Amino acid sequence: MSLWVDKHRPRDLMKLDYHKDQAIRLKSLVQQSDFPHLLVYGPSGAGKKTRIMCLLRELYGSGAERLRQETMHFTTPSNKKIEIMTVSSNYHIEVNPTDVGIHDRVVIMDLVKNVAQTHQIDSSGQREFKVVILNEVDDLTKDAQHALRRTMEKYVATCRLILIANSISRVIPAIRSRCLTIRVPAPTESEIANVLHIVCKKEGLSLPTELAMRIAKSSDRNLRRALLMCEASKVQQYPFTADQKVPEPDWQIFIKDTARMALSEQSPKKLGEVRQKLYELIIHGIPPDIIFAGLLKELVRNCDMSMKCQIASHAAQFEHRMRLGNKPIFHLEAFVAKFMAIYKKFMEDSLGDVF
Amino acid sequence: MQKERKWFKPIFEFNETSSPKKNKRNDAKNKSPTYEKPSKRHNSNTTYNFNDKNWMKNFEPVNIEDVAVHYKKIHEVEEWMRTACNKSNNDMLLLSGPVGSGKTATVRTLASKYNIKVTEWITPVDIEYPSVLGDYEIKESQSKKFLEFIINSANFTSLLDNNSCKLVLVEDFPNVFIRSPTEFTDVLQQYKHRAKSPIVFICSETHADNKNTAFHLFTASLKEQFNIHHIMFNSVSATGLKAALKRAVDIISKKYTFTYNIPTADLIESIVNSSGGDIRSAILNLHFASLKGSQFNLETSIIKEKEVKNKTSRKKKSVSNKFMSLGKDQTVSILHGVGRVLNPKEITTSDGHKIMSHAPKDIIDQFLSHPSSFINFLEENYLPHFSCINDVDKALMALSEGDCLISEWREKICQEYGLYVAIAGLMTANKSPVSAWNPVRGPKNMKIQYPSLSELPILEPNYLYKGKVLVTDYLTYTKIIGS
Amino acid sequence: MQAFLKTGKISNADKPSSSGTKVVKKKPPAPWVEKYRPKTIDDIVDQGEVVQVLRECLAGGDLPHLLFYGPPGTGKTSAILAAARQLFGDITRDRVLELNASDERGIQVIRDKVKSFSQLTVSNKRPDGRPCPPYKLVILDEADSMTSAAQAALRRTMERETRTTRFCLICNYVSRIIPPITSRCSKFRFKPLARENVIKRLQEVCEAEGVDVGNGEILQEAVHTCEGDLRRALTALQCCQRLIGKITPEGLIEVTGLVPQELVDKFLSTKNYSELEAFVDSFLMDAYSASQLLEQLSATVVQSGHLTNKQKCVISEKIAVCSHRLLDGGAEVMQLTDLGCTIIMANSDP
Repeated sequence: MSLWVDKHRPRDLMKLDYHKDQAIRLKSLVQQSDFPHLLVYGPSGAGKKTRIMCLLRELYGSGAERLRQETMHFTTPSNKKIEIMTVSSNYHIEVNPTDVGIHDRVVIMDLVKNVAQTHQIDSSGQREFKVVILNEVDDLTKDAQHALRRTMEKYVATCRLILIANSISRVIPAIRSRCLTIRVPAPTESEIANVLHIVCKKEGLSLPTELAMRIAKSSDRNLRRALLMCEASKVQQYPFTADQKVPEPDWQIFIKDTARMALSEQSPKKLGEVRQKLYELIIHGIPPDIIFAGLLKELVRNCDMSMKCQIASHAAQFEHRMRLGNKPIFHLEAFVAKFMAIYKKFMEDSLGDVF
Repeated sequence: MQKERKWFKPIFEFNETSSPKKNKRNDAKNKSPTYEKPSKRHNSNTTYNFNDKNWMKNFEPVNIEDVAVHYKKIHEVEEWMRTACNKSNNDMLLLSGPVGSGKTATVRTLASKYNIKVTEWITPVDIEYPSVLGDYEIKESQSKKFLEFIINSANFTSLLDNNSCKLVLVEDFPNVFIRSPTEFTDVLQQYKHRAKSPIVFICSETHADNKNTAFHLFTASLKEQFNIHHIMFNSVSATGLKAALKRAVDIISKKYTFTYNIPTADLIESIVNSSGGDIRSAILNLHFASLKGSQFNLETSIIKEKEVKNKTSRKKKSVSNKFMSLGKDQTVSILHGVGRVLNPKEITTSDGHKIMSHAPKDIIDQFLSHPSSFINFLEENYLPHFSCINDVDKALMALSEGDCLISEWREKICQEYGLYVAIAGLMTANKSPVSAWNPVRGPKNMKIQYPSLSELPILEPNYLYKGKVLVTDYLTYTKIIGS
Repeated sequence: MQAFLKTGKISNADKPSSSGTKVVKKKPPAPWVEKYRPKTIDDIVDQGEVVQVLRECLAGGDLPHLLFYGPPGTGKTSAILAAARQLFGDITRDRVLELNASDERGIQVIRDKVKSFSQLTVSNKRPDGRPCPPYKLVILDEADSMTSAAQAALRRTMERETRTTRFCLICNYVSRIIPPITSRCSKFRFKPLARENVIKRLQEVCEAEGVDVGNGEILQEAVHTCEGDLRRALTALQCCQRLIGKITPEGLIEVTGLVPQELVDKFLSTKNYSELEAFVDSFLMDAYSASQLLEQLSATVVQSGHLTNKQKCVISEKIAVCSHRLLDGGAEVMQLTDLGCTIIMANSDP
């Protein structure tokens, strides 16, 4: 049994459910004599990976879909052994260079070199190059990005890179200008609802339109999450009703709880409890910037405009520091403390006004 | 005249040399070494009697009861030695334990008790030099020499004495074994076949470097193969140390009053505290601290320190602080450092200024080698000391800024600044401290624990799930769907 | 691009500046930027004085150390490459060492590679006997990204090897070059290109490529979106042509990653926090780039007619702070929210 997300993933460029114009352009790109490096960017769950897999299929035929998982080993200049998971077919290889932290540069250089130096065995294949897919390019270190730029030029004859990023703000211009950039906006809510209907129909289920819209709304325009939510709802209750509960991601609930704690009482003791919650979130792998955004959203709800402004400005400041520093918890905690201090003052002032 | 004197200084010196020469000649007549000249002030006789070079020997245990090791351990070793020597077979014993825990002393004292002759292998220095031909030959000869030595000393009695029992002691392992442990196995094999006396190996454990110690030669399988008996020593307990030092003081008061001052109880206390269970360094410290001639400034400074802080609880600390240069524990522990930052004490100086009893600068100097781990400790422990959220806010501002600076690896100085910002910020932020006892906790392990894919069987195995997406999207729902 | 050189298909003089050129394939058709790079200094668009000086230098056969600076895409690299080609002709490959930011350019490289290259003496005759200048040329592209230690190492080399080697440094910001070096070079400032000249050049290229661009409208748009950067405009045109098959204003915006102007205006006129939140969410969901928004916003704010000077000050200051944080890797949503708050406050307090 596989998840709906995987089961009903479109495998052909022409069968994509939205951004159809773009699909046609991608298809024509494949048919042209040469194929550029690509930089595909868009928010999480917008369908970047799906499009890339379709593109690979278009390039190499169904052979690109026979995947296998491997662990590759690299040695850093300081003689540290690192290993990284890769998924590859005969024609491409995919990695998450950010998995190895600051050693990402080594992985990129060695991997691309390896791939570029092993020529396609099957010369009857229609392409003389292999494809390297790099995930989360925007989270790469600057060092690695610069290395990437050189690597792209050097091995252009035998290897093409497809870079995946959530946003191009953090990709250095030198890389941007060497790639054909493809923007994949998140699907709109109605597009998501539409996909949900199609999937349910394939599964032989009937999905009320209201429920589809509600799922689409609470999924933050993330199609993957929407499909998972839909499937989870089905497990919880079927036949569907229009007003049934849609399960939220548990970490979102957790962040909301944390924010509520900070609002309920502003004392060092409470901060200690909030800190425990933040630890939990970080250890379970929720990215700190998402925690920041979630907290900000919840905390400013019942503040007046000038306070909102203050808090947002502090959030931006601490988030920036978090990027510079290496202990996210320091800055998250500092933000919560700052909020508590501001909020407490505000409450005291407004109480003072009442009396 | 002044100028001339400067220019012609060598001449003046030349003129003056006559008097030191004379002194020297006088000294030579007295047969007293020049370095003991200052002690002439007190008593010229003392210098004479302090000619015993191996003064450590003075304090060596004579009876087995004097050894500052737990009696059960001694008993264990004693048992083994008795049986091994009686059977006069080739049993093997391994003694391991921290430095200065009395391993060698135990063996030697027991051996003298049972009248066993101990032959000790000492790696000769000359074979350390590699020859021009390459070091293969050397290796060969080093292990060969070792084997020859231990077998010969195990099997042949010296003509000069007629001991019935013999014991081979190996404390100094030839380097070649550390490089190639298999050779050691071969040597042991040979020994097992040919030797007729028990052998004792002594290994010191150091937690500093785990590699390259002889202790790692003795793997579990090796011990099993040769049936090596293993006795582990712990570091000497405080009471054991005290007893041993007391014995040493007795020896001093009986025989060596002209060499040593009789140490005070405070001094012994501080030596026990600072030696960390190392009997050898404790004796060494005792020796230096109570040696006549050097003791005066030490003693007086201790007294001064005591006058400043007359609280009894403080006394011990200040005494041990004074002996930092003597003891092995030279650094302030990280826990002390955390305490100093989180409970800053202000002292009012004579001219009315308030200063910190421990300046941030001093604390920084202690922790510059590992700023980030210290700051982690601070972060973990600061919160219970605060009572007002506004102070917490200020403290966290400092910590957050400190973290940023410490992460700036391109400029070395930033580490120092970062630590300074964090420490000084924390020390000054707290306006209304909570005075309660808070145990210092270690920082949390913040390594992200991604769920393993095996926990989530419904995920497609060949799709590279990114950590982030896996956690934020899949995890919740796969749990629901999978249940 | 290095791959071209490795295979030796194109002479060294064609080695492009690395910033902003597009690498697409190993066989022709080459990127338009390369294909239409000026062959002689007289082809350089719009840099009258510089060209004049260079021409005189070439006629005299001697070059001083050069320092070219100016905004991207104004022809700095093209100028020196064209000059080198005119000086050395077919032996350009042996006489020119070009290093750009993507090459290793730490202090070690300056010490070893540049030094050993510059110490070689060359004759004043070509292999075939014709005369040529008796020196070599080291081109350091994107010199402002060199560390100051490497620059300092360079300065001794520059001084000592003047007899055999000329240096040409190319950078965007002359302030990032250490003074000892700037004082050793003749400085040339490359002005931003005049719009009509850029359009003329683009038109020539499009005609040569056989691409239909209709009347001047689209090219006007292209120049506008690329802020006078000829290279960027050419790259954008080519990308657009490849991806869509024809050149349209929408296509240009798409390939350059620009934020549509109406979104910029909407952001600037945000009234309250919930509106801001919704805007930021949908903006990021549509995968627009926050740094690009800030760039465009900055231009809009400065030219805006309805903002007071005070408002402009406040907003511009925040834009600067936020784009710095974005450069350091800050989260887009945070920075946009922060900036949005400032805009709201500024809007309510003219």
